[in-house]
Amino acid sequence: MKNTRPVLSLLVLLLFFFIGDRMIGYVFNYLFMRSNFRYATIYKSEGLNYDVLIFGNSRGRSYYAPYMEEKLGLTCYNLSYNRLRIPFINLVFNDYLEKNVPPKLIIVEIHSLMGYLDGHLSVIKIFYDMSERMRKHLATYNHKEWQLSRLSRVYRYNGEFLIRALLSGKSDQYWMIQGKASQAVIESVLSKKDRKLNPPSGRALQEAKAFMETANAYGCEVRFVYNPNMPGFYQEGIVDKYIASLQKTTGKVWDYSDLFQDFTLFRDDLHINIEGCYELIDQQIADGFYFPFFEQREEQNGE
Amino acid sequence: MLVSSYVFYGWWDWRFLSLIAISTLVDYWAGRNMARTDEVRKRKLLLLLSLTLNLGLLGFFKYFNFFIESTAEFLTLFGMRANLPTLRIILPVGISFYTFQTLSYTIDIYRHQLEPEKSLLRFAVFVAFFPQLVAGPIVRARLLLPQLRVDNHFDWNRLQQGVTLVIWGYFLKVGLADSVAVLVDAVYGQPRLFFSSALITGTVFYAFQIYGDFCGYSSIAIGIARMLGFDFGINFNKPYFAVSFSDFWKRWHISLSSWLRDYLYIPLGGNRSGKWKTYRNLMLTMLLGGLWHGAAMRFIIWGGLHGIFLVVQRLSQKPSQWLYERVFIPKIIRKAIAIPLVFALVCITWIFFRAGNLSEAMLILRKVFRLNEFSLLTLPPKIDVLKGSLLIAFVIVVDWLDEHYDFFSRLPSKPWLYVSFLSLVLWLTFFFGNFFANAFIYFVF
Repeated sequence: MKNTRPVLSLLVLLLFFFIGDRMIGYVFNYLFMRSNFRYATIYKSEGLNYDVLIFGNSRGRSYYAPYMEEKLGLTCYNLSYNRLRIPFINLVFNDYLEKNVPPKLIIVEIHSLMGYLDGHLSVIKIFYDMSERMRKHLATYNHKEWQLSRLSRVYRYNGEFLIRALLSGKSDQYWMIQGKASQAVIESVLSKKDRKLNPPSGRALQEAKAFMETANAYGCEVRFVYNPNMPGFYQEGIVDKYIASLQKTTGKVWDYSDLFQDFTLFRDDLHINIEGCYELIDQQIADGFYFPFFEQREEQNGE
Repeated sequence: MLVSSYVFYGWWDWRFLSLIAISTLVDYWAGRNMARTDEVRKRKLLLLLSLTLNLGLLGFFKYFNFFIESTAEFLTLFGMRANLPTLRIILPVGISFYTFQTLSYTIDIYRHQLEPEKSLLRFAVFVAFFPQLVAGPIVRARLLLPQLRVDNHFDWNRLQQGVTLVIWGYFLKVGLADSVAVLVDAVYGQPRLFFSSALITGTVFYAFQIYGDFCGYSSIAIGIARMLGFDFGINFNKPYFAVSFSDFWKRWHISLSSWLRDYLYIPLGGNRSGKWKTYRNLMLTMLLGGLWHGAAMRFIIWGGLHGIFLVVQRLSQKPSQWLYERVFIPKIIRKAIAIPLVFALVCITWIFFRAGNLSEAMLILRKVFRLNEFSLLTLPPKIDVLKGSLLIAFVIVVDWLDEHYDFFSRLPSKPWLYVSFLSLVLWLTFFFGNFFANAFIYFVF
């Protein structure tokens, strides 16, 4: 009998943990889906109709949708997120198309084709209940994450997305990179002369190709763009070479890597700030990047 | 238990099992023969054999390249260029721990404080016991060997205690340490790019990362041992509630600090040979304690700083006493000043521990003290700061409860508190935890 208490305690602990885990998981799901976080919006809604979608990693976040809407007269929605890359973009885009109206134009910032392509595998568990596509992808590419997600509903909300969702307010499209790069960052960029840009991996190109095929099948125009680099970030010729190797698959890449010589338009060594975004959008309009959609809208408005 | 311990260790690299085996055999033999003779010379020789072998192994695997490189640098000060060869040496996991563990055995026998173990099998289990083999705690022979000699039966109460420790330890490691590590790695990875607010945040987070990592591992090891019927004592006792540096070293990595006290500080004379020798002994003990952690100047500096703070504490004892006799300062106020002060000074030492090299440590220190552009706007990603702060606050609250109300001891006797608390800890681990992160920091020591 003296052993009854610890045995019961351990059994009740197990039970309490699992019941609590399920309940908390449901609460988290409710809070997430109730929010205006960009990915929650596309999973809770049907019939969303945006003219322009923007995809990318943190560089893609530099596209400030409210400003774009104001300048272009087109409805815009930014679906970029830090560290996320083309495999995730493919998943989200395909899920988006299931319930929503295909956009006219899709902007893809090409840094989402570079580097470590599987960063999304630690975050997509939040979509475990919302997307069969995401669930299967997780099971295939990160079985351990999938198993933990099956075990614990709370674990599915492990990551930034839920916290970001709780902080999203009326719209997370106002979430933008602010501030200016410090002198230390600028000096660090200028002092390093040997930065390399590896050619796109076979997998990145395959994913990009698959993305374009899906987009074209739905009548969407895809434009790949290279956001501005900090002046002196790469030696001359490096970016051109990279873009040339990418264009064999993607077609034209709009190269704005050398657009800015002003360091104040950058938040840090990798990202333009909101002032940089304004200038980038203005330049893109001048270059006809949004042709014919911007021009069509202008015609409709009688301008 | 021996087979499972050897399999556990050999899974990482089976070749290094030979080192544990050699250390085991030599120390077993030395211990048995020391006890058979009263001749001081023979006993000294046998002790010397044990010391030479264990410290020799440790010295070779851990410090060979460091001494070669330091010698070469030293020679360049005199204008000599020495192309001294370095070796590509793999550091055997846990060598710093099990060598100290076996040394405690032979030294205690030499001092007539312990009878030698008759059973080689039992002694081998003592050396290689898997829960504490790779990262401590350093369990003394006089604590563990008697427990290995008695028959052990399964006990549900011990299982419950062990489960508590394992769950808490897992939270400290996966939930706390590996979560805050993200921000720490970002800040310490490129300290030149960050302002003082980020560097201070990163350093405070690191203080809790290393605490969570090491205390977490210890808790898991002690918990597993408890489930198996063994008591390892405690290795951490809420160190960030320390009111002085000597108090800190009674709470942090207790198994190492007590080992250094008993086998280094006291044999050097401790505090019984006058004040200057006491300061010398403190400094030597802490410098060697720093060196134990790693073959690099920054660890020696880390140890040296702790030595300095201990010496300063001693020097300030009389002035403090004089002040308290004349000015009434309630104990609670004294504690409220002392605890954050000690924590801040400990954080300064952690800068050296974590920085990539000495020049980066000095850079961080300069920026922190200049408060160069301290601003909430210049903090690293707010989400990481928020997450880390919540976790740290939770750990501080739990530690405070344990410090003042013996929380963990009382837990098993209050079933609903036990269930609620551990469920909460598990939920926090699943919600915040980084399950795919780093190995334990102390695995490299």
